[in-house]
Amino acid sequence: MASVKNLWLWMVLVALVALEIAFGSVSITSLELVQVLMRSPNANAGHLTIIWDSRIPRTIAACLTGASLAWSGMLMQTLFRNPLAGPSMLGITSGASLGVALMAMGSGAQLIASDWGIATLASAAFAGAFISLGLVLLVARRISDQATLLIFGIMLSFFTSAIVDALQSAASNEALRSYINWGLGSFANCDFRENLVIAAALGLSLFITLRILPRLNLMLLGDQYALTMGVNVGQTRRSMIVIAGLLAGVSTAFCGPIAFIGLAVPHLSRKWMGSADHRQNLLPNLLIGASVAMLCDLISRLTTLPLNTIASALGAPFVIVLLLGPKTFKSLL
Amino acid sequence: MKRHESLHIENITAGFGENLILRGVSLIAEPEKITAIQGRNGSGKSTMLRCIAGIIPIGSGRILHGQQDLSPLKPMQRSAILGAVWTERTRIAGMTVRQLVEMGAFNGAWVKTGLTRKEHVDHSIELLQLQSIAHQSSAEISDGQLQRTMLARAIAQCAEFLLLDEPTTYLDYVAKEELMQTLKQLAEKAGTGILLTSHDPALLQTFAHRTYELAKGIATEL
Repeated sequence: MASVKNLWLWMVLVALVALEIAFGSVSITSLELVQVLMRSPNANAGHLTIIWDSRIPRTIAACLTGASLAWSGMLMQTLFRNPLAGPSMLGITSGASLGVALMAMGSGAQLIASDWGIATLASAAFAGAFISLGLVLLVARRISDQATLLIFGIMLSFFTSAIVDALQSAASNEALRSYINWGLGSFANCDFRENLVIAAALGLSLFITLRILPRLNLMLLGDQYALTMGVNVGQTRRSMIVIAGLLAGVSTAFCGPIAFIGLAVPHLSRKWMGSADHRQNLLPNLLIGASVAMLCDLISRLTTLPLNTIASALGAPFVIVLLLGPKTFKSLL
Repeated sequence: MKRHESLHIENITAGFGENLILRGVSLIAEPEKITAIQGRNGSGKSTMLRCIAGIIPIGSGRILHGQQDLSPLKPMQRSAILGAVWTERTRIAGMTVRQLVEMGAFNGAWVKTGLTRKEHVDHSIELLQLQSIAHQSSAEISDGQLQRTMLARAIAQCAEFLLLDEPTTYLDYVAKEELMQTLKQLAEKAGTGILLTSHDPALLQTFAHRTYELAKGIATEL
């Protein structure tokens, strides 16, 4: 049963990969496409560059980032036992934004202009994400009320936006531009080198995930239960935070603060599998995350609207319908 | 084998300064028996169970299982000695009754039953008569069913002792009786020691082998 469901997801994924590579602003016929993919000597040199240096790396970036954000969101929802939790709801993404803003509009402008530009932005985003996560965690240890924690996360986002706004008002046009571009979200900045970093983060995260996977379900019952059932709660929680932060931090660093995927994909995955069991949801979550990211990227390219615009515009209504269920939704109309 | 060792709570304290909740609680819980702690709201019954479970650190005193001090034990080792059902409601959308019960098997202590994991989980489900709702979502069951589910999960954990915080609170009279009957059988047949807190003196009169009253941070045997 589960494997049939996974097979469907693989098929969707493969179809979207094909679409991502086949479609773009330059139209390439399918025959040519095959030639380019086979690196045949007859292939058009321009098309070779488009496919191999642009579309393929970007498709890989979409897959890796989508999968990363989806699993990060899943862990956040389990950690906080809150279906609204996600990298963007608890200040992690805004922390990353602050890091990038400080770097782009503060002292790091020259660094960004250098060869190390993307690495500089990425480290700044990563540092920002982890500091936010640490703050949220610190508060989480003191209070047991999830609503308060969520409000704390949202307030943290407001606070960091205030600093970002202040920086923006004083920034040069050039610096402002590089910050805004990053904020719109894009998979186009990722070349093979960047993809390698995201893939390494995802690989490491999955490695740690597999070690704690059997405990994740128990974490859903809360600390008291998890502890008395034999889970080393403190260590497990730290692992979850490190993974969630690593995944969200690295993806956000390279591709910008992409909304909605981390929040919505875990819900999609659980609905699809009909279960909240983490062991059953790991693979579907990654596959759906990758597919949704590619879908957003495709639409974004076809409409020439920014990735984040598409992700939010598609995502928010979709999640509402999904959560309310078709029946409730109809009765509302 | 550590089976049939008693649980000795020796002079434990919890809380700080003026807010000392437990001021040297001592009691004994025996295997195969139901030991009850009664007391008013806020008397520290739940705090005491949490201390025994290792959720709240104790200020002083010792918790011994036979000769073994529990405080240095890791959660996994402790889980083979102590299981617990708390008052927290734990309905999880997307988790069936069976999945909740199966979580109890996480610590691997079921190996000693000689059954397979699946058989053992089935057995725990049958003990609490949850077969008919095993595949229902835990989000859709009644309070009584949830209580039995969480108990079956604790049984699946194969611990020597079960700590039950107000196990009968949400239940109607018939369900209370049934639950206590189940606990009694569990104690007598499986040899599990049961340490529970309750507000219900009448019920304890019938089922508890030993009852303590917790007041002003001290436990007195009744």
